[in-house]
Amino acid sequence: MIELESLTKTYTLGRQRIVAVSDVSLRIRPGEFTAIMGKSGCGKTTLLSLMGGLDRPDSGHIRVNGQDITQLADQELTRYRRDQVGIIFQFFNLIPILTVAENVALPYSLQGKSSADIWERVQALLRDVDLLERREHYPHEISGGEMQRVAIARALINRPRLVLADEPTGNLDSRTGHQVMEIMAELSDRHKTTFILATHSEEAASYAGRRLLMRDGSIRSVEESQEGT
Amino acid sequence: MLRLWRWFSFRHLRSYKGRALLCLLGVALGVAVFIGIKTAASSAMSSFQATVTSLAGTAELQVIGQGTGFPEGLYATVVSADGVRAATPVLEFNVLAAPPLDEPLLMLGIDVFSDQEFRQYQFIESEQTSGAILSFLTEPGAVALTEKFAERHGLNLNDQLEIFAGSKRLTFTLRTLLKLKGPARALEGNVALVDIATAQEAFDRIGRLDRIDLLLEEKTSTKMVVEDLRKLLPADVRVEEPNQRLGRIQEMVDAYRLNLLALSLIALFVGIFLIFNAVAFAVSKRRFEIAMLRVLGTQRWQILGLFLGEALIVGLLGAILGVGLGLVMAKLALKAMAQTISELYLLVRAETLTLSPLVILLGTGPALGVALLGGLVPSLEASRTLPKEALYRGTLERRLHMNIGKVSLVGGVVLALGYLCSQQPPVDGLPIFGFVAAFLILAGFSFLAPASVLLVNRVLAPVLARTFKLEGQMASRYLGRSLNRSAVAIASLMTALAMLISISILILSFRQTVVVWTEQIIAADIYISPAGRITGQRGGLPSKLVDSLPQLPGVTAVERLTETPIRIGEVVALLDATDLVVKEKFGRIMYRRGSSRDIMRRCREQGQVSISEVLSNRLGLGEGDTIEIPTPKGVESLVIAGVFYDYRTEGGMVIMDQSTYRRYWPEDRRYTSVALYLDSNADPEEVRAQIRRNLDQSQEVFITSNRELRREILRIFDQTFSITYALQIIAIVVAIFGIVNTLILLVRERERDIGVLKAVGATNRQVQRMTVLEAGLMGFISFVLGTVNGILLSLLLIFVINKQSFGWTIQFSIPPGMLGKTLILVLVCSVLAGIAPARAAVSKKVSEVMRLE
Ligand SMILES: Nc1ncnc2c1ncn2[C@@H]1O[C@H](COP(=O)(O)OP(=O)(O)O)[C@@H](O)[C@H]1O
Ligand SMILES: [Mg+2]
Repeated sequence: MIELESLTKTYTLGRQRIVAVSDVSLRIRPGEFTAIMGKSGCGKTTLLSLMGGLDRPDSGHIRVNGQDITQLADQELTRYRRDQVGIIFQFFNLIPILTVAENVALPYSLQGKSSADIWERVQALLRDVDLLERREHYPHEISGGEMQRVAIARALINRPRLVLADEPTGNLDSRTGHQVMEIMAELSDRHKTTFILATHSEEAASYAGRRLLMRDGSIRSVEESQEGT
Repeated sequence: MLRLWRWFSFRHLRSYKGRALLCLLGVALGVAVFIGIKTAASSAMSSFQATVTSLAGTAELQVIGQGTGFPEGLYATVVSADGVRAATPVLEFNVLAAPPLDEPLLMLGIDVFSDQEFRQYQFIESEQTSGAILSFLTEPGAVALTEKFAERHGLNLNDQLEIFAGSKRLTFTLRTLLKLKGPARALEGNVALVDIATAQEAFDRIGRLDRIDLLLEEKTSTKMVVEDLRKLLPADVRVEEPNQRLGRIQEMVDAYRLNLLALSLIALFVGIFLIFNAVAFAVSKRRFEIAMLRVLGTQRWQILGLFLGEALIVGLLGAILGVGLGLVMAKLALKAMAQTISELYLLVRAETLTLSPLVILLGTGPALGVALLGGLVPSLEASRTLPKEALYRGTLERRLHMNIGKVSLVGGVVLALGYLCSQQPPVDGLPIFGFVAAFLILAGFSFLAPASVLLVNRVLAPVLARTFKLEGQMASRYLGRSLNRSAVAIASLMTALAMLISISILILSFRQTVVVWTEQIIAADIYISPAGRITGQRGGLPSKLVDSLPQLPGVTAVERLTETPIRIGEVVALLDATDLVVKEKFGRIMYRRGSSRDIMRRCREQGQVSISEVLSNRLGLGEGDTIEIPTPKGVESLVIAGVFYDYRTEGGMVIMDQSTYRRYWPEDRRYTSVALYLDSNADPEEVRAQIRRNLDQSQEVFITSNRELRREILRIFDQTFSITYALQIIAIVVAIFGIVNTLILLVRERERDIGVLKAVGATNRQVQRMTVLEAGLMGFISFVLGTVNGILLSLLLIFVINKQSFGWTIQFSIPPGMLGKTLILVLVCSVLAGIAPARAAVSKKVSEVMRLE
């Protein structure tokens, strides 16, 4: 269960104050696949980075399974990011010096454990995203769609409760975008992970069970769809 | 273009003060060493020249004796020779003004009447000094000093001046002051003038002269006069034109200089890397700006000019700073050079630096070259920036495509050339090819750096991964990935370390060799020498003292030494006559081959001689050859019985038995030092005290124990090399800063990766550890490469460069302690170097990663 309570985040640019997220309250049930939609600049990325523990709100609370992450110390917040959240970026953001398999294992390795311990899980995830035979390749040797699939596997390696994806199809052509979305939807379903997707694309959002519309930093409407694949 | 510079370059230089300063220092160091050495050498030369020419006055020819000079009867012979218009006798004596003055003085004994045509002394006129010139003739103890010397020591007319001459303590009365003009300029004013008769008496040289200065009749050929005089004079008396002395000294100064010049080349070499680094940094930091300039229509060549201009500014400022530093260095080096010259040739006191514009030009020229060379590659990189890159701020991870295979091949070829050069003979006695080889080795290793970094990194990777887990693995991978940047930093630290290691190996091997040698050679228990022995081993020990020594309780044997500089062809060497019977029984000479007992016996019984290794190399003579030695009895051809190791002088040495010496130099009754061998149960301190008691008031001698003498030799040794250590440490520090620079640059280039790492759960600590590990890894790899490089260079230094320029045999040894210490130094420094970049690495907010691109 994720609860946002009157979350507000403002940026100051010179003398100008920009309210990126304004008084957002929201509940997301465990295992739910939610899409946050809205035009560019409406505050999606900001909202995601608050939920992912990448940034702190000016006011308000974020409770993940009862734990208020806005109250965490920096180190605990880092641990929260590592152990409970998986993030998928628009620009894939794989580490170029690590192989596909190593990139997937990265959040686990960061716990100070050897990546050999988790080899089976890495293998399973790579099989899920259909990249097992590419495991020894480096990011620059694979395509954009493949990179994003690696990023999905990486997001899932630590069995996070929450996976955040910011415009995951934004840099892909629509066919690859569909493939990526399909995999995401399927894995979210299988692993019972809470998935939050930020996108301005209707198509991508159509995979979600629940759609929120953001405008100027606020959630404007909520739309539940029972038949989301 | 100018405006472009003003807007972009100056502002940036101002905001990267630290970084610019660093490059500046690197360049300055190279320039400083170059200018320092050149200036010191030319100052020593010109001071020497001033002394020689001002002392010579108008003399067209000089008749010069060696050792204790020649009988004054020769004066009549010389004056009456054909073509000689005028002549004046001179006695030169190097003395030490007694403490607290404690300065060397050149005492000139002149004949006031005949001297006037040769030298223009200017006396300070005043009431008191009227008739002072006359008093020279009448008063035996009268002396004239320069105004400068007298003022410095607060001496007034009629004050007493106490000096040590040989083992005598003498007192003179200051009767008149000289202006710092003409001959009084010699030795920067440390000149004392006495009447020749006074000098002969004071220095126990009654009836002897050191020199006769000559003026020739008009229209006579100098050459003819020289030839005539040679026929009339004994073989050990030379006839020379005054400026002939200069040529020989030049050679020696050249040899000394060459060694240090190599150091300055290395420093400039490091400078190239530093500038490369700094410009690469500037280019990377300003890529967006460059792209914008391109969008706005700035031409490629303008961008190129912009960055090259920046490099040049840094080079120029570095050169200016280098000139300043160089002068400080020159001051230090000057002392050492003056000392060497004084030891072998003529007492010089070099204090004034003569700065030549040519030297400054020669020093700054390469600095600008270095700046251009270092700045070229990254500036070209900048100029190739495409306008569209303005749109992708910060993302483009550009790689210089480095063809490692090709670069390594070049490195291999350069190294092979270096090897070929190292096998070449010296040019004109100078190891020119040796230095070229040193440069090629450094260059070759730099070209091999990328491949070697990959290799060492690959070997280390599993160890790092095991020891430091993910952080170790990533540090190693990142290093391999960013070779285009890191190889440069590693190559520059490698070069600095190679310099440190090679020179340390040279010095420590040399030192070890000298230690072994002193232990062998300094076998006597007590050494006695005259207190006033500054240079030109002229003063002897009081004969009463020497004669009394065998009777002293506790003394087993006495070895008497007479040391005299002699000239063999164009080489100036020391002739040591000693009691070989005693040496054979109690002492030791380290011969390079043959039984030393046998050699010494042949020297004793058959009048043969031993020569030092250095002299053997210089003259190209070895065991069994004959050597031509000029003696008062004519030039003698003596058989060389053996060649021995000696590390005392840069000149050479000849050892013969006292009996041989007395045969050829019957007039010389001096003993310049004495070595005492004691009974095993005698107390050296007791013997020393006894000797002191036997001296009378007017005598001063040094009595040195075995241990003190060894320690003194090593002290001088260490002192000689102290400047080089300081230089090296500076070079390393500068190179380490190169690592700081590179890492900050790399961290910038990896900004996005770092953001991702943090977003997926890396702690700040982990990111920092990664950066610091990478710094340590760079340091370690530099150390490994620097060690290999340094050992090769040290072999070259010891077996080629030293051998060709000095001819010393140095036992090669790699001191493990030094390598260990260097490794620790490098690791500590490079880990420290990683701290600032590590801070920079975690300074960005994590949430930025969501917006990067
Ligand atoms: N670091 C920042 N500094 C200043 N303004 C920012 C910053 N990040 C985002 N903004 C502003 O906040 C608003 C919301 O941005 P963002 O959350 O990125 O929207 P979206 O992801 O929906 O495009 C925008 O107006 C953006 O310009
Ligand atoms: Mg966004």
